[in-house]
Amino acid sequence: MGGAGWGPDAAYAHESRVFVRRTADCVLLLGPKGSSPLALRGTALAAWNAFASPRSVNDVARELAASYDAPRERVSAEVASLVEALHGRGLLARRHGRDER
Amino acid sequence: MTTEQARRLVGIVAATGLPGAGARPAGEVLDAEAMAELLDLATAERIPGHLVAALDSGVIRATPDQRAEAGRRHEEALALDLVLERLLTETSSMLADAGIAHRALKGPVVARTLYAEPGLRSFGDVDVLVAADQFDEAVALLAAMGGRPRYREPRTRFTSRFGKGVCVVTRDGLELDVHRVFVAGPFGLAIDPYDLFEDPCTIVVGGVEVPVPGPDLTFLHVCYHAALGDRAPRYSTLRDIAEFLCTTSVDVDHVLSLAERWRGRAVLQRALLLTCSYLPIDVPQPLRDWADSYRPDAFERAALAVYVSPDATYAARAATGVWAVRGTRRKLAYARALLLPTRSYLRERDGSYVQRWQRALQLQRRWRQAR
Repeated sequence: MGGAGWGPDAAYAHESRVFVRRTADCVLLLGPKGSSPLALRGTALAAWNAFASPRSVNDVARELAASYDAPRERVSAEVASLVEALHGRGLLARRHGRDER
Repeated sequence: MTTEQARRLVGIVAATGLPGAGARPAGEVLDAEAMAELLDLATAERIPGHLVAALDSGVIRATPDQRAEAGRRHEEALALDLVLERLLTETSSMLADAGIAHRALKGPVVARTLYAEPGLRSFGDVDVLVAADQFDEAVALLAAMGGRPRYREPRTRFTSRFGKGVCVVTRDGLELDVHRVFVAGPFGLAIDPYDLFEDPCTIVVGGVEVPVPGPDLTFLHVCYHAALGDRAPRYSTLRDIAEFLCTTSVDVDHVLSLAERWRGRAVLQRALLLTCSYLPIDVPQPLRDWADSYRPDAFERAALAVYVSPDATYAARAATGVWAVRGTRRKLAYARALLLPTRSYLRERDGSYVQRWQRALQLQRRWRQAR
């Protein structure tokens, strides 16, 4: 995963310059540069919602694994992969501290 | 399903969630052909979000597959909305950096200021109002960024002095309407463009503050669009008016005063009456008494005819606009530009000056008779 200091404890949150629309079962996201909108649903949507405030991959994975009663390692890998994709599209921003937005 | 039945159903869709809308299901589950027609209509009317709401509330019955298809269409519309919102913020930032006064109009503005959820109001292009004295500068800036104005002007600076605006097609093929005023023709020419920049507000789109008109001007704009825009008013625009009427965000005295200044009270009246005839909504007092009793003057009656009569054309609106231009010198400049356009413009339109003058005379004669 890109960016110095990456690790499962690094905090991420929604990028402020994201264009968002919600429906009953999905969220559509578009970053400030390039690419077409991305639709997230199901657990990906739950993960997106969890990053409304700065959170680490570990925190979010722990929360989702409990909510969905799923193996923690698998959820961690999926959340890490999603964070990498969202960060690459300019949808999630790296935060330096959990309280910093 | 007949066209009339389809229009009735899309009317039910457009009314979903309004206080006066019926809650009873509108008959049986639609067959595949009827649902396909309703999906197309709701998309064209920019209300796919209301269609999903109508299906979910049971006002219109659907199979699970039909509901899934409606959801897919809605997501397509929302994806375009996001791309257009990004274009709006890029354009607004660029104009602001260049010191060009501007306001975002229509879709993204009403979606964020009128509706409980912006996804209920989709749109198909971006509209930006630009100060008349900076209009040409703004269009040149957009052209420098790869935009292509869709129409040629009769003469240089015609649009910035007398026009509604110009549609600029971006490098990505998106449409960006740059407005000087709300409409073309006599009702547009009667508007003082400086009025459109009073009472500014802002909305935040994608983290960017975008300037927008205040609610009274936005209300008047949607009314002008509903009354004079398309021959059959678009349901999304009528729903915008209905959303305004359900709130108390409009200063009625101010709206009427502006409409009077712009010789456009008949436009406001027509928009209100159209909304009530298409959607189950009552115009609140004191607007209702006013709309019921107002009698348009001679100018308004004749001007309305060039927008709403079956043979109304853009050329008729342009030809009759001379009577709404203020000041003799400006009237002469307007007439000169239309009667003696550049040769390249003439080649695309009438072919020769004589043919153009004959056509202008016919249009003027018809308009005088209407008066």
